[in-house]
Amino acid sequence: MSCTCTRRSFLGMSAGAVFASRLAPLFGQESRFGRAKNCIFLYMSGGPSHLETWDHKEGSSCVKAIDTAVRGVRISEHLPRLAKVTDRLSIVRSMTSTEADHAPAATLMLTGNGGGASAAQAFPAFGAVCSKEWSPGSAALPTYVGVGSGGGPAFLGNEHGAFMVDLSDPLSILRPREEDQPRLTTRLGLLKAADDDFVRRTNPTTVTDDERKAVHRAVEMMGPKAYKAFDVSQENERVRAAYGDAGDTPSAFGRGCLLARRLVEHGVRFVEVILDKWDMHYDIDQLIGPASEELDAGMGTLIQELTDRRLLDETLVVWMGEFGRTPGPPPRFQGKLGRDHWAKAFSLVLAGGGVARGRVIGATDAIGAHVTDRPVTPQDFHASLYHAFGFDLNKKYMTLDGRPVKLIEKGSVVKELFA
Amino acid sequence: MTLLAVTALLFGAGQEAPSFVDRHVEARLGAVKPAGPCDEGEFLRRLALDLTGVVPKVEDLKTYLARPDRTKEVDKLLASDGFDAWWARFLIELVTPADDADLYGWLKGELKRRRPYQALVRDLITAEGNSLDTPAVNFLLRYLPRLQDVTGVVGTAFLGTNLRCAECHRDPSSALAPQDFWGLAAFFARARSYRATAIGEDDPYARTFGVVEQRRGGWVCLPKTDSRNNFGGCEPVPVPPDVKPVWVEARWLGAAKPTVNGGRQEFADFLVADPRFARNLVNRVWARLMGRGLQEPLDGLGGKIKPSHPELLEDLAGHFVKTGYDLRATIRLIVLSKAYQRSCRSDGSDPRLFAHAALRPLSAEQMAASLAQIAGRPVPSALFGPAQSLRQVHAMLQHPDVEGLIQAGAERVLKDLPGPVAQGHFEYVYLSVLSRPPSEPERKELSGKTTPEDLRDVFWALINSLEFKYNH
Repeated sequence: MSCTCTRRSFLGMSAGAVFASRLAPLFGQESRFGRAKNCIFLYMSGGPSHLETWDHKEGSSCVKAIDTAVRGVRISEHLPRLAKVTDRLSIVRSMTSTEADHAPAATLMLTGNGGGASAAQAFPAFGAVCSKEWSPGSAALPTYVGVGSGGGPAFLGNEHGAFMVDLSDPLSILRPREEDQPRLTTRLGLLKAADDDFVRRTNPTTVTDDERKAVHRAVEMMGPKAYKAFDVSQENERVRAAYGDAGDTPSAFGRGCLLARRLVEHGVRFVEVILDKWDMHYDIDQLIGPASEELDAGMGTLIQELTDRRLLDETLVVWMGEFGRTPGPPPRFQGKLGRDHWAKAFSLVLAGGGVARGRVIGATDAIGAHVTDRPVTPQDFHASLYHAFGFDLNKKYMTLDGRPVKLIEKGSVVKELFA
Repeated sequence: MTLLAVTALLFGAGQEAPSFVDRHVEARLGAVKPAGPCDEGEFLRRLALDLTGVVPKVEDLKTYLARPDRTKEVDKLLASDGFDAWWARFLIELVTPADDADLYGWLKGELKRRRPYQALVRDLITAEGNSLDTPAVNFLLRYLPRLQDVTGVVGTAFLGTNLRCAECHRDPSSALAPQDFWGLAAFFARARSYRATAIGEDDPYARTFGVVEQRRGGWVCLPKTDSRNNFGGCEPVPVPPDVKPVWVEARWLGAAKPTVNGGRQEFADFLVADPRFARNLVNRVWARLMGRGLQEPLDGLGGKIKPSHPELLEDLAGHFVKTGYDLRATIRLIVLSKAYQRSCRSDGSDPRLFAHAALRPLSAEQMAASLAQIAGRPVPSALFGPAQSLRQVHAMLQHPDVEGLIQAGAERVLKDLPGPVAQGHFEYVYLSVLSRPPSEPERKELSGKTTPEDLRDVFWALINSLEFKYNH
C-alpha cells in the first residue's frame, strides 16, 4: 500500500469532503462530469519523446515543427493529420512523475497507483475499473478489449481483465459460427449434462457459479455479432489505408485503431491499443519518423472518424506513455543520437468524452526539462479520467484480503480539461 | 517385530502411520463429519496436477489403477522432472509476478539438485555478480534500487507479512512502524545494481545487468527524497521545510540494537532465524495443496487474524526446519494425509475446517500442459489468460487452436484404436481428459454415438466441463 492513506488519516479529515467542497464552485452545471461513455486508450509503450511529438523545442527537438488547426500551437512535422485535428485535442504538456523505469512507470500511468511489488498488492488498470463499474456489460461483446496489451483486474476479479486480442490478427480468436450452430447446440447440451452431473456429485455450493456464468457469456459472444464487430476486413480499402492498414507493411497499430472504432460502434466500451516503438535510446533521429507516421495515421484518422460519426463527444480518446525522454538536444551514445528515460516532464493528450477542445495545458522550460506551469501527476490524470466517466473518487473497493481501499488516493481533477 | 512391519500391518502395505497433520485437523472438526476418501483415479489426478502441473497420462493412470499405492506414487512424482518444473514455478511466483526465464531455470536446477529452501532464499537475498553468471541476482535486479519494493516483496514472499503499510505509517494490524520497515530496508542499502558496459559487439556481457554489494552503507535517510533508478530522470520528492531528515540504521524487527554495517548477509541470517520464515513457506505450500492457507491472508502472519490451526502451522514449520528445509518433505507429509486425500464432496461445512477437499480452478499453465498432453501437441498457455477470465472461457469454447487440439486428440484416439467409433474410443477420451471411465448413465448416453464428429463433440464438452477445469 502506499503512504497516501497515512497522510489522509494524519490530516484527520475526509478527503471526500475536501474534494466535494473544492469542486462544487468550480464546476457547477458546466463540469461535464460523466459525459464520456466509451474509452479508447492508446498506450505508447516505451516512453515517447515529448520533444519529438507534442512539445516541440527549437534547438532541442530533432524534428521540425508544423502549425496546427489551433493558432500558435505547433507539433512535430511527422504528425500532419493530428495537426489538422488539434482543434479537438487537449494537450497536457506538464505531466510529471516520479517513476522513470518502464515497469513501475507503466503501472503508475495505467493504474494511477504505484501498487505493491507483488501480484497480490497490485491495483487494477483503468479499463478493469470501467468494466467493474459498467457490469454487467453487453452480453454479446466483452466490455474491455485489449488489442496487443491490456491491464490486469487485480482484486476486481478476473472477469474484469482485458479480453485480449492479437494486434496483427484480431479475428484469430473468433470463427463465424452460423454454419456451426446445430453442432454448437449439441455440444452445449453435452456440456450442460456433464456440468449438472458434476455439481450433483460434488455439491460445490457457489464455487463454480462464476465459471458457469462466464461460459454463458462466452457462448453469447460466439454469435455473428461479435464476429462482425471484430472483422476489420469489412471496412473499405480507402478507410483501411487511411489508418495505415494497407500496403506491404500494414500498421498493426493502425489496424488496432480501426478495430477500436468498430468495436466502440458495436458496443464494446473500453478498447486499449498499444504502439510499442518509443524506447529510443539509440537512433532517435531515424526511428522517430516511422513511429510518428504510424501514430499519425492511426490516431489522426481515428479522431477524424469519431468526429464524422458523432462518436467523439461520448468517446474519450487517451494518448499516453509511461514517461518522456531526456531533454535538450539529443546526446550521442556510441555515435548514435538517442534519449534516455525522463519522468520530470512529458506530454499526454486527451480528446472527446467532454474534454475541452483545442487546448494546451501546462508548459515546460526552453529545453523540455522541467514543468514551468500547471504540473499534472499520474494521479491527477486518473482523477480526471474518473471525472470524465462520472465515477466516484471516494468509492472504496475490497482487496482480496478484505481491506477497503480507494483506487485513487491523492489525485485532483485537472479542471482545465473540463472547463 | 520391527516398527515398519507393525506400521505395515496396521495400515496396509505402502501406507504410513497417521501424522500430526490429521490429528490437528480432526481435533478442530467438532461435530462435522469429514468427507470420505477420494477414489484412486481422483487421487492420481489431484496428485499429478499438484505435483507436476498436468493431468495423468492414460497409460500411467491404467498402470496405477492396476496396482494402486498412494505412497509409492507420491514418491515417484516427487522425484520426477515434472516436479522440479512445476514447483520452480511456485517458487518464482513468490518473488516476481512476471516471467523470468533465467531465474526460473536456475530455481528448477536447484530444486533438481535438492538444494534446501533456506539456501535458495539465502542466494536470492545475497547474490552478487552479473546475471549471466549468477541468475539469482535477477530477483534483486527486478526491484533495486527501490528499497521499499525489495523490502515489501521480501516481507510478503519470505516472512508471510505485509510490511508495506508500515512503509509510511504505524500499521495497526502488524504493529510495525516506519522505523521498523526502513530498518529492514537499510540492510539492502549497500546493494547497487549496475549495467555492464559493452566491450565489443560480440561480448555476451554487453548490456547485461548485475548487482554489487558496496562496502559502506547500511542506512537510509528519511523522508526519502531521491527516486533513484537505473536511468535517472525523476523529480526528487520535495521535503516540507519543517521536516528534519532522520537516519535509519539497519535493524531487524524487534531487535534492541541496530546491526553494525548491516548488509544482505546479516539480513539473510536474521531472516532464516525468524520463526515466520518456515511458517510462511509451509503455509503457502498448504494453501497450494489444500485450496486455502492455515493463515489467511497468506501475508498476514503475526497480524490480527489468527491461523485456523495454529498448532498445525507450528508443527509443520517445525517439521520443515527439522528436515533441513526440504520442500519435498513438507509436500509429502501433506499429500499423504487423510485431509488431502478426502473427496471434494461438500456438506456445506466451513472450508476452513478442511472437512472435504477444495475445488480449485486449474491455472492457465495446468490447463495448457494438460491439453497439450491430451492432444499430443504443444499449446501456448498465453492462449488462455488467467483462470476464470472471459478470455480463457471463450478461448476454450471456440478458439481455432482449441478446435485443432480437439481434432488432433480425436485423431490420436482413432489411430491408437483402429476401427469404427465405439465405446472404447469414448472411454479413452474420458480417461485422458477426466482421468476416469464414463459412468453407467454416461455409457448409455454414449451408446448411440458412432461417428468421428460425435467423438469430437464429446471431446469438446469434456475439456469445457467443470470436472476438467477444476482440480477436485
